[in-house]
Amino acid sequence: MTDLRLALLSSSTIELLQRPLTAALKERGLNSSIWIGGFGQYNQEILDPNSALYHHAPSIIVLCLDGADLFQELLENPFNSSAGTRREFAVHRADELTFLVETLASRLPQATVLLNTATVDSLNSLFGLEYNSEFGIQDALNTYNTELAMLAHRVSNVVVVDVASLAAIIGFENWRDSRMWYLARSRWSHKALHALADLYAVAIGSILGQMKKCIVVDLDNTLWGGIVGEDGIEGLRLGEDGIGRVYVEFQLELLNLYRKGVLLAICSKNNPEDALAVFRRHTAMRLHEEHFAAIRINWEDKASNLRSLAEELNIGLDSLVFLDDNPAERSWVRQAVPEVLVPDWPEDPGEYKTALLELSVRHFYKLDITAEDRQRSEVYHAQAARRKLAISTTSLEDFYRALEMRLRIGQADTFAIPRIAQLTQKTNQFNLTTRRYTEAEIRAMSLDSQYSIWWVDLSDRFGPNGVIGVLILKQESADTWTIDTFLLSCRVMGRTVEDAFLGVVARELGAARLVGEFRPTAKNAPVRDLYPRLGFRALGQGSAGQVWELDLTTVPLKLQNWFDIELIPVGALAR
Amino acid sequence: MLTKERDVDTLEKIQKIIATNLGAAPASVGPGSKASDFPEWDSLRHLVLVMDIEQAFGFKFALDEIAQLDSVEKILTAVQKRVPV
Repeated sequence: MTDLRLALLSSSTIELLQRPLTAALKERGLNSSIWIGGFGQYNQEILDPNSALYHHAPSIIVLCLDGADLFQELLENPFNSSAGTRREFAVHRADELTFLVETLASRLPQATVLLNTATVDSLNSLFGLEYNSEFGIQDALNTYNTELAMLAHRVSNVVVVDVASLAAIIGFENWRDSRMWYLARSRWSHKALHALADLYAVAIGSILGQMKKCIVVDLDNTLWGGIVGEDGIEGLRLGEDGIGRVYVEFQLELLNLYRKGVLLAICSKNNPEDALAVFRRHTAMRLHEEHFAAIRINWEDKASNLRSLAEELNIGLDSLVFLDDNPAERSWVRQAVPEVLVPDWPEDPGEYKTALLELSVRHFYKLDITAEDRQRSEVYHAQAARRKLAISTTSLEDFYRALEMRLRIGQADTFAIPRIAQLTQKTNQFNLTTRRYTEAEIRAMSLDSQYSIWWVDLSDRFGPNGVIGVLILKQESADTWTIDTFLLSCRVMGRTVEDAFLGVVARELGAARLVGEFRPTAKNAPVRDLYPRLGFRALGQGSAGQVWELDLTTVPLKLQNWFDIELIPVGALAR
Repeated sequence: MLTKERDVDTLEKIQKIIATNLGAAPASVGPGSKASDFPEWDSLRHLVLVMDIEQAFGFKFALDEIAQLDSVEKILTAVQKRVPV
């Protein structure tokens, strides 16, 4: 289990969140040590450099400010403010928050701060007047929430959790409990506390890179209504009429997940020609073969198919979510491959779309969409084309040359940091030390002169792969560097990118000696012999693995001539 | 008065909710237990366990009533009043 140090700060009593949050984090494999700020004391605790907050040294800070507290003055007498003063009030609140967040970012540069969108009870004295008269509160809330979004955009350590939408989903009647407020000065009902804990746990899971990567769907009665082998293409329920719209909307939601960078795959018991004909000929289909990174349509058992899908996509079974309307299949898969997440699925197809959206919040919660996310599925299709090329070329070197590989190498900057953090969190196989870093941590390191952080981007004749490798080095002396992190996306393993990447970076740093450590995990056996292969000599046993060194003055790293290499100046990745 | 089987069930359910909330062994909470017997049974913990009891029996206590429910016996009486036998 990962240990997590957390701080909870709030404008009202937040103690009651501790238990549900601890439980929700535990469900995600996170052990948490939670420190809780005093009632309404968040200003002092953040501003005082000697406060208990800083002694706790949290890596995640939840600053939960309720709209009813932030806008108390406006709510008590909403009839003595104009639109202009409300706006000023909201901007002033956001400025106060900005100052607090910047203080936190400077004192705890490696921590991530979770802020929340503000909302107030929908049943209030402005109901009716709001939007019709000069009086209102929603404009102030909108201003404040917009300022939050800009703050999150500007300060990378900040994540906004949309608590206002959560309250809307649950409904204010369930969100508040007057007894909790009057007896404990807590703004949330019992139910709201659990929902809030779940949402914070999801957001934290996402910051730590714990989300799933791929949704595998069944076809008959999941992607469309009916059984294609029996009902024929014309007999399927799918289209604009009646219940057929259920499946159209379900497909549209899957398509949006695809656009967010989630991989889609198919696992169905069918005759492949019957099932593929639906994709090719049914005009109401929103999903097409090109949207799926891998397809298994056959009569094999689904557990074996899921294993082979994971292998083809080069991702762990624990990155898969499997959707099937058939409870027998679900139960078999759960038993045979317990690593795969198999959610209960509604019996009523009318609930499919909602179930998928809820699943997406829970397991595919995204804080940002990187360029790599946008082109992820294309990248997997190009991978299949590369495999074909590998079979048709005669020697490995011919294959490398035929790929026409182009490397772009650069140092971490604002544009590259989110992807670098994502890679440290997701990469398991080609990862020498498996150190996981959040965006805030990478940013803090990039500002530390001891560290040098590099990324590599690979494209070839089949298209771009995006940023697929990271090197983090720490300077020990003038010409000696220790390799803190060395990783490559598993998609580009076996193409000698690592040799060129390390070679170029060592050259750019003017390093004469490199020290690297191999820290074994359950998944990184493929790189156990990387350092000896690159000419490193064993130096001894470190705290967590074997340590190696390379004297570049006697054993230079060779730069293979099948790469076209370009160094990218800081800031240029944006283009 | 615990005259019926259902009353016994109710009592056990209440004791279990209290024990879970206090992080105590189920056996340590009996029909005669009071809030003052447990240092963990503070005002916040009290609120949560009362809410858990509401959820288990499907009704809501009034604002005034909550603070007075400081023993197993008082909770049982209040629940029986709401859930007719």
